[in-house]
Amino acid sequence: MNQKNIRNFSIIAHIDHGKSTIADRLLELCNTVEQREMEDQLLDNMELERERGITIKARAVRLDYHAQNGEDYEINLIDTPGHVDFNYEVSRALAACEGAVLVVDASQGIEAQTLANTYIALDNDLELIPVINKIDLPAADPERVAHEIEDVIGIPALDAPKVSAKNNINMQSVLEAVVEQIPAPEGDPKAPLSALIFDSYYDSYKGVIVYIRMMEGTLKNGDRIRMMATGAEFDVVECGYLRPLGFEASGILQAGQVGYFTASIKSVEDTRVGDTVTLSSRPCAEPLPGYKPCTPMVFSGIYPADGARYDDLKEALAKLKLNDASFLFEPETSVALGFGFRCGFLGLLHMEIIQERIEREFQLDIITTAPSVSYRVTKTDGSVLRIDNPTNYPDPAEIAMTEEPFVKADIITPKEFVGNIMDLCQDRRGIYKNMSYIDDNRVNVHYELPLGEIIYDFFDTLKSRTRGYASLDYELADYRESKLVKLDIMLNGEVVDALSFIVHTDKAYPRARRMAEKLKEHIPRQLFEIPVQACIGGKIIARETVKALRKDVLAKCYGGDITRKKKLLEKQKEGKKRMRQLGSVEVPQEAFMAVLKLDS
Amino acid sequence: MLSLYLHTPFCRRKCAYCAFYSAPAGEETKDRFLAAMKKAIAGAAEEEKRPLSTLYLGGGTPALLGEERLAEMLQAVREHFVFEPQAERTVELNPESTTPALLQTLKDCGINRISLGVQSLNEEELKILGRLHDREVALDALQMIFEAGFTNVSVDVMFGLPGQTAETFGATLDELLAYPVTHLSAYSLQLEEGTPLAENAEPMDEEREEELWWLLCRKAREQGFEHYEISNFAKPGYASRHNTAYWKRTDYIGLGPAAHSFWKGVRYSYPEDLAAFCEKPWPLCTPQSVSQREAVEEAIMLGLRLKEGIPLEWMPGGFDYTRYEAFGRVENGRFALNERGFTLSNSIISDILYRE
Repeated sequence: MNQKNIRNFSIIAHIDHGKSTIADRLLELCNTVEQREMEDQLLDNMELERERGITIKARAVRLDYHAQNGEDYEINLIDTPGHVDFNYEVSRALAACEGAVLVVDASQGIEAQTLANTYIALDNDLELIPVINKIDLPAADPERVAHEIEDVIGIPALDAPKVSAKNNINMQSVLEAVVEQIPAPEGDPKAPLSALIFDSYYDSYKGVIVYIRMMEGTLKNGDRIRMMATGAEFDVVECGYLRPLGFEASGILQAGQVGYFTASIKSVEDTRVGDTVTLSSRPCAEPLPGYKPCTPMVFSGIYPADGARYDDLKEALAKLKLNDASFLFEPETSVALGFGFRCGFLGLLHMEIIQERIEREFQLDIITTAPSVSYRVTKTDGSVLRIDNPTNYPDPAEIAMTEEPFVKADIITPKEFVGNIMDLCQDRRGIYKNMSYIDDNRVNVHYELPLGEIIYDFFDTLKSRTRGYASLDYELADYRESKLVKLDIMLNGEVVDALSFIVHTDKAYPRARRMAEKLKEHIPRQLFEIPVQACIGGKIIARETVKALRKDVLAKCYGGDITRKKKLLEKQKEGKKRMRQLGSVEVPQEAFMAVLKLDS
Repeated sequence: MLSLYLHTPFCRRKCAYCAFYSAPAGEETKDRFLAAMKKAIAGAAEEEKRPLSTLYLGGGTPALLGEERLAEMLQAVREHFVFEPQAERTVELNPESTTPALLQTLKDCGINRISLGVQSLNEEELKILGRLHDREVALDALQMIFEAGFTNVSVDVMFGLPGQTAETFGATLDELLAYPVTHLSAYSLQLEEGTPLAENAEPMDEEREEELWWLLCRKAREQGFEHYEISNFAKPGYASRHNTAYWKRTDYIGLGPAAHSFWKGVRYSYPEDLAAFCEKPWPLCTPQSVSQREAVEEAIMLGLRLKEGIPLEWMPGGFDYTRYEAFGRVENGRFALNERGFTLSNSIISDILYRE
């Protein structure tokens, strides 16, 4: 394929604006998928993605398009996630493209992630093609949305394709715009190889499958390649194009193309997303810029419910990490929970998804500790610590200053909810910055908020207080001095390290009380009374009691029938498996999870 | 030691709390049942030559068979089996079907122990339970039993009933124990799924039920009863030897639909199906062997129901009785639950068996 007939692009959008449906239609238009094989949201091929209706991982696919100008084009589409947690995935995808289709819902208009993703695209110097989707909805107002795009984003949009992906209206205009407006890739097929790894996928037969964007040079089967960051070398077994239902081996990839290769790569450590692939015999001079290393914002401990499955959990995490560069983990131990891992996530949704994938894809029961952000603690001796695990929080006597991360948050909302949002942000220790009008009805409210206040249930609360209308995006701003304390939970007089967390002084008391109440709710009555206490530095600030069981007996044993008793015993035995023995107290896994959702 | 249980699966009407197998029946059905039971008794006796230590006729409502059939059934037992001297021979009766004539028949057939299902002497409580008798009928029946010359008499009561209070339960106990009863079985109400009562009633809260429990223990003690098993109290020498066979895992053969057996190390149970029983009354159905591990668990689970408890050497490794000091005691190399421990026996047993 002639390089000038290649187009590489992404689709970016706020969540639910129809990105994955648009991708489906484009695939159909190019006959990339036979009709009988077509499933909705084909690119979302993770079970979890379909269930939740969101795209978690970026996917890529090659389309062959016969344009109206009579020429054939190779169009590489890279799908991107829309949730705020996954901005990092978006930036990875965009680095492999020359252009992006910006999808905006004709009834909703610009939302927080529309803006966030647009900024990432502009940072990458991408050509932006606005597309107004869902024009067939009763509430659609494509003209107003086109003006909004021009006013707020500052790109021409009055001639933007106006489409309905759902009902297949005007979809061809999107592909025409891609062909006409997005520049062809540059790069010399004869130059030394440099290819950017933008994703990877672990296949149990082929080993790691590496998704690359060819920047310079040519890659062929049998080539000996080098990963520039790690220095690891491999022989390419197979390379080719990405197709919706699998891989199409071509044996060769050239500058400008998007594709994959395999090289019997077994080790997770050797393929780093953002790394540059080059030829061992003729390396390029400089690695590609790569990516800003991703910074996890939320941390929590993940432990196997059954301690004997530690190695299984480790393997599961390693496999997930392979496909998810933004997820970090390292071993840690807890007195209460034994051996496990401290994990870093982009946000709470990301955390939930990882947890669900561990349980579903690897059939592992896990216990997760309360999420924490990374705090900065300056000790009296002048040393500075990063604390993302409450267990490591120093003795208050040794602390000179504590700081917590703040984010800049954009909340886009119909104006009637501004009051509710301000109440919410105020309650979460937010600092009001300013407010700008997007149109007559909608405003963008800017706040600075402590990240620690957002990671719990801010998003859910925001949605419920705005009847689902508000959208949120945020980015890390800086660290600010803050009065923090470590709150410990004691069960039966013993501190349970896995339940400790760091909290702002003003929030400590209500949080402690809720935590104690939640634990009381979730810890079943046992043979002995169990005091549940929350304390700061040994001082008890909240207390609940799980009363001792009073009566638990199966009286009748009719005519020598002991099967019911045996069944009951079996049930209790099963029940015990789901419990963690903490000292003399049995705590069900649900209790650890429930305290994560303190406001519900 | 060998025990024999004969199950009559007939009831005039099902009580509101009952999840056991029983049904109304016509004369013909009863005849067919009797014929099958006689075959079962003969079949069992073919293979089991030991003398009977105990015999128990339960149900259902054995009295619904009528005097003649009952006599015939008991005759069949006597024909095929030998009784140990002083063997305990119990029939379970409901107050409304107790008559002097029936009692005389039973006595003539060698029955020496009556277990009367009183449940309560409070009219409201009896109504809620859906029993066919009222308090007067129950007291009359008790009177008749003693007048017929029975000296070993057990009464059943229930606690944890909807609306029951310490007052009503206490009154039932006082009134019953004023008779020379030798044995008291007290069961807490279990709301069984699918029963009418489970749909209409809430379980009593633990604290209130516990109050009734301590009332029961105290009143029984005051009247000279020994709390020899979780749900059972007896005057000295009158502990039910038949029920004890269940807890001590000695051999018992249960005949009749839904009846269970534990015989020579194997558990059996007839299906809950009268027609199936009539078709094939013997041999015992669905044998289930008991593994070594199960046997240990059973022995602990059942043995801890008894006041005498179990030998310490049966306990799993690492058993630390100090953890259970509030619930039991170690004496003469045995561990036994006390009355506090009895009320929590499910949790304590699973704690002993399955604690990490």
